[in-house]
Amino acid sequence: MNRKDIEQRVRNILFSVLGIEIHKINTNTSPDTVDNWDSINHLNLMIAMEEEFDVEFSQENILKMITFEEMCTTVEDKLVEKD
Amino acid sequence: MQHRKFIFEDQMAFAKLSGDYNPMHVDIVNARRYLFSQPVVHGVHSALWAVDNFLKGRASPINLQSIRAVFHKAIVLENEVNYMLVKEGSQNAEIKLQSGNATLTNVKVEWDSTEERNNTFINRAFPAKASPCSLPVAGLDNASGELDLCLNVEAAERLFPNLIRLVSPNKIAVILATSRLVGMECPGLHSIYSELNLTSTGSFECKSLSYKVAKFNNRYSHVLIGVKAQEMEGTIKAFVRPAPQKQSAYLDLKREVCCSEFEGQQALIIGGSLGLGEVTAKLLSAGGANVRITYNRGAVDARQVIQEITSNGGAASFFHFDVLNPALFKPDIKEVNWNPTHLYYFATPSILMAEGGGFSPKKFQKFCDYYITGFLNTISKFKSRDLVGVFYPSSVFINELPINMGEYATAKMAGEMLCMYMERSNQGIKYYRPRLPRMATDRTASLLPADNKDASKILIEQLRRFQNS
Repeated sequence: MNRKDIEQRVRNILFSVLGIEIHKINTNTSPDTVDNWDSINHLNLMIAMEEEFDVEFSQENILKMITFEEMCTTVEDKLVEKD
Repeated sequence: MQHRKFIFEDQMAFAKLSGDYNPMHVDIVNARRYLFSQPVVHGVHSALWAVDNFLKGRASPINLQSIRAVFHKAIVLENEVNYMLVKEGSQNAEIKLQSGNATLTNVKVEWDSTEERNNTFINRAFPAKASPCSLPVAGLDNASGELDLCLNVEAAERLFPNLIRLVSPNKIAVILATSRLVGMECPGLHSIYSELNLTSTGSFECKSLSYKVAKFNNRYSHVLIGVKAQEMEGTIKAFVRPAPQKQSAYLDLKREVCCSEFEGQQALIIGGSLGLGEVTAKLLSAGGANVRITYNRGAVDARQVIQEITSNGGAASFFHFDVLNPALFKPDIKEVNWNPTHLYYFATPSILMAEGGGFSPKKFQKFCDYYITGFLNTISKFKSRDLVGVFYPSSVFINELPINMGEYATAKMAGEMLCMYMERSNQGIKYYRPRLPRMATDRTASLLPADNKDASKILIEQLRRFQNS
């Protein structure tokens, strides 16, 4: 899976969990720019991402993945680890 | 756009109708120890209100085929909730409840116009009032059971007149029962309802809601529950929220301090009924200080703390004081002649109220109410010639500035500046303002993993520094 695919899937997850319109998602999309992105929804995001990419995030990952950019990078790293 | 504010009476009416008496919704005192620090609206209540509002003005009954409700954010009482119809098709609709730009509840419904079978079964009783179960996390994997379906139509009509007029009461009973399931049974007491997905089955046999946990994700404390009932079946998603944080026992803390190291202190602890204030009260008392704690809403907690201290040989008492309404303070004779030498200020709103959506002047103001205005009120009320030191807990979040904590950190920073200013203008009183790390308390409880430090270890060190400063 390449970076573009990952980004597209993460966008879809952000849309389905947080309701952000896909065209509004950019590298800086974060809890600071999205009203619904609170701790409960962050967990919903993490659960959806783990299911989508079949990976498991560490506690450190969970706390760090608070921008679209960081989410995609973490998934990319996890997928490389898996291979 | 329609809007409303949920009030406490609404909570009680819905609790009676649904049987969901979880204290997170109906207990003002205990709710302050839970994740949202105040009573929040039942998710299902918000969803049914949204659908009821949508049906207003409709004449013919609908045969509800599915309902999906996602409870994005907790709805607190007295806050304005706006109804927004996002999409309306001939047999479906999407509705959002919002506050500002934040979506609180999102509801999607589908229906058709086929005639609903005339159902005969309706148990018109209210569900029995009970205490919520607290299922151990270990038992969640295999949890299953059944709940009776009931619907007091008259009470339901008062809350949801259009829904009752147009939708099968049995289906409403099923939706209501899911609230009772999550709040009272599984996960029960420490739960947060996150999502409801129900579809119509066409079956008319069953008179109860049966449930079975389909998946429990321990890492995220997330439960997926399968439900099946008369006319509807589907899934429910919920979280297990953290239980109130228990602080160290007085006898354990006694071993950590020397019995006379705080002797001579007349210590007044504002907000001493729980959390850091509670630990401070116990440590100071164990070290020989004469302690008074104040509470705002937690009289029961304050009494327990004092009882624990005094029954183990410490000197302590408690009284009511609201930092935001100091005029209400009526000192009794014990307080009139008692002047604190040291004042510890732990009054705080929920720290997690700062979540989401950029810097909010409203949230900042709320923090300032406690960290600036309330603090000034307190000093003005209890300042005496005997007062030599004030302990003002600041935060490492000023240095770290975590995302979403801008309002909190800025208000704490302002509090530090206020302390510096007061120290300059009030000769003789030391304002000690350590930047404390995040510690395990009800106020810092979160579903997210966090590196919460042990409060007693951090505080004992700080109390000693304050004593010697």
